[in-house]
Amino acid sequence: MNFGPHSNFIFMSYAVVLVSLGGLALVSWLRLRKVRDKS
Amino acid sequence: MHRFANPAQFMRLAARFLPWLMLGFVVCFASGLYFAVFHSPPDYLQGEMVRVMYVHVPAAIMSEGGYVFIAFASAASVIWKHPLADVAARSAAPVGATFTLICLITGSLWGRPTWGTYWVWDARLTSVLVLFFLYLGYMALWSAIEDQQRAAKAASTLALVGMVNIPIIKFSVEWWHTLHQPASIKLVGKTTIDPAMQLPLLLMTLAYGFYFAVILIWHMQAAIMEQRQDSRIRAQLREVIA
Repeated sequence: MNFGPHSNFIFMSYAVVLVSLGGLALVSWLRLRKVRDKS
Repeated sequence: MHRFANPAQFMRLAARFLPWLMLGFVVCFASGLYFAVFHSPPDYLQGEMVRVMYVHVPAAIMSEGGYVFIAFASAASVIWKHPLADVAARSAAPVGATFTLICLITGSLWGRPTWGTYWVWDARLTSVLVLFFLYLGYMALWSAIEDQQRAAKAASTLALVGMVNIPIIKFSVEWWHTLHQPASIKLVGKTTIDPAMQLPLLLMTLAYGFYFAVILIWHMQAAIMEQRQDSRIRAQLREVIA
């Protein structure tokens, strides 16, 4: 994959999306699991 | 509407729809990424940098859509006192804030090679930053006030007042001279994006929408279960005292 001289900006954008969405999903799922385990 | 605002009914419906929403997210996200990275052509002006659009524009749509959702849920809470309205509004805030942050960061990364700068204090960028602060303020209000009814009232007021920022974001590129380009996708009028670029954009927008729904439901389920646990503990305490 060669996206030219600015490819690092493109990869960083996609990385930001993956990390943010993945992080929020993980935190939300862990919270739900913790509450479920309590009840 | 009141029938669906019943927490028990919501928990039943959520359990039924969650797997389909997750499937929708996985299918749309995987195919959206595939088309965005491998199939979409470079732009005649921006070249390969146009690929940032597929993650930036849907995040902008979700950040504004999320706030409108919170404002509607807050209005429902104030007017009809729906038992689920506050839970829905509060649960949507972290998801909306995350999409706004994604929008701001990917916009910055897109701006550096195309505009020559990560940030300018122009109307569009500043109004989106204000939206991010509104999300933070909304979440902070919920956490800062211990009495949940008072917190709901204060947070709902902030959400409804903050709605004034949404048309400012939308029309900022028309009302002021900005570096940000005007809208290319229009609900009324001709869309100026090539069909080869519309497909990944649509798939990524759908994926973000499914993601929003899944995380919103997880947060709402957790909040409802916490409320039930709290009321159970309070009932047990009352029994002990009596």
